Amino acid sequence: MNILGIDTSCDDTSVAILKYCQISRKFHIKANIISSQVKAHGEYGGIVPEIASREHLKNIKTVFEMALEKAQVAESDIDLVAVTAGPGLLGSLIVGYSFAKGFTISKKIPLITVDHIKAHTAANFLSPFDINFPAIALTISGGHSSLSVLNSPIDAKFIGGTIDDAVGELFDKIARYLKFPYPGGPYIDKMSRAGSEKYKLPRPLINEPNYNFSFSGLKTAVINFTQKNPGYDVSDLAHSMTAAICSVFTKKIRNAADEYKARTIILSGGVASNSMIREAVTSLGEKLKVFVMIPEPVLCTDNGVMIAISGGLNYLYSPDKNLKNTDVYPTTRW
Amino acid sequence: MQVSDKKIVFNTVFEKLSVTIIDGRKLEYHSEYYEKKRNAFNIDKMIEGALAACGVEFSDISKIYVFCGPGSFTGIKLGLSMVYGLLCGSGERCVPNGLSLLDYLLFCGLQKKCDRKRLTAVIPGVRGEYFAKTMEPVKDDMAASFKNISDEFVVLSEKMALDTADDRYVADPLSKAFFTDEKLPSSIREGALTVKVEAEGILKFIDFCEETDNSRFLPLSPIYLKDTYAIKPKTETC
Repeated sequence: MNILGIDTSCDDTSVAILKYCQISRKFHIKANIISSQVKAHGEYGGIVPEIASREHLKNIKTVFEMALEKAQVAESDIDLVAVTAGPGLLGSLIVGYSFAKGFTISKKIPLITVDHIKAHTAANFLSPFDINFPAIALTISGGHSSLSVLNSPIDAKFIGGTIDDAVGELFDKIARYLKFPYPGGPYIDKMSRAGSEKYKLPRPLINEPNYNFSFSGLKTAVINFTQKNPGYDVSDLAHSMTAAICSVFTKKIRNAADEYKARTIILSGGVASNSMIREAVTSLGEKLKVFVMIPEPVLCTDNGVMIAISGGLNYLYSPDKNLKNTDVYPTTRW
Repeated sequence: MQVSDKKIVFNTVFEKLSVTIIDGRKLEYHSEYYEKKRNAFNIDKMIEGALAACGVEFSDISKIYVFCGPGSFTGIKLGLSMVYGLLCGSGERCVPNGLSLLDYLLFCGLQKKCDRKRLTAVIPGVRGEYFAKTMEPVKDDMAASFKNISDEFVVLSEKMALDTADDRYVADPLSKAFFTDEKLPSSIREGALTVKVEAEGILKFIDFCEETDNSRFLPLSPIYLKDTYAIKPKTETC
């Protein structure tokens, strides 16, 4: 079965084609094309929703054609289409959704609408290893920081998330404040590699008996610190801030792993590309003797592969083929 | 083998959605939908409904016509991305054509009345501006009239009142912002011709474009006429 996955939830136009092998029950990537809009938004220091949606419209057909060519398949070989319907920027979601809907109307094949956050976790189903359930999944990106328990490929229970800024938002805002180039996350990661934990920064909600996060206070603490200590070292500051984030994440994951008797820890989302966070979670898994799964960095950022997998899993594992999901219209929240 | 001459026309760019299916030069189906919020989201269901009502599949359709603007930015993007999807799914078998809503308004307006030196079609934007296009009609000659048209432009009420008060205006009756705009002289508003996007008008307009003036067909590119309303200046604070 060939699955077309489309994601236009934010600022990347992503189209992937995957093959699902019924015998091995594994997904194989045949094409994964991502058209980045970093240049279009660079001059504004952040994503401008209307520009994002116009860029998606400009790019979507070309990106789809590139994916077909790369995968060496014809449009008639596509059996299922999965598309992000939320959460995300509404104008951007509409472009991908409408393209997918038009494609499926034309070909008379099923369309599965996908929750973007759950799809980030699904990128781990590409691993040659099977996921042992229950699994604790931390999804961290520019718009989300959420912790869930997975009991099956399609059964995810949300147990906590950020009550204010998402962790990626913190990275972006601090990067902008420190006048780092856009996008700021990768730059902070690079700086933090050259620094050490020289400054003590708060670890919000670390001892709270729940699985929620709060990064707004940490952002304020970093800004206040720079104003009171003008001679600070940027690399040390980046490292100290990321270390504070790592402490919060590892503590909450550890608590969740204990409570839910986790057999796997899954890290996903764009911020899972951050090398310090990857190392901290991997190291925690080793301590707890729990298997850790993190997708390669290219599959951590927004991509069509994870959408195709999530849609494919929904289609394959739901008793009703999850076709009720085709009624989900683009939404800023899922 | 008989070649299908079924065409689908849809409009998502201004207020009321519509889907029309034409067989040759004969109207086969037309439906309209209007809802205050999230209007355009229903276009997929309308297309599926239209195909089902005519007992055809998309593979039976040989041409697609879509209004590319100007109008709602969301509606423009939704309509065009839907067409891109339909085309890609059909292996580019269908012939696509873009249409301007202002051309349609001028075409239908001119059929109603041709009593002024200039005819101006307007579609209100959301911040008090208008998307407009003017035509200097040639009596009883639609093709010649369409040779005397301007490009699409954006204009504010004050300028319209000054420069084009003698024009005959054409607007969709759902253009509330136009009909209640107190910055415009009442003569402009009250004397305006109202043109709906409706079955008969679409049929005649497509026929005119195909038979007489196919330069009215546009590439499948959005007609926004305006940058985003929401660009904020770059700030240095969080």
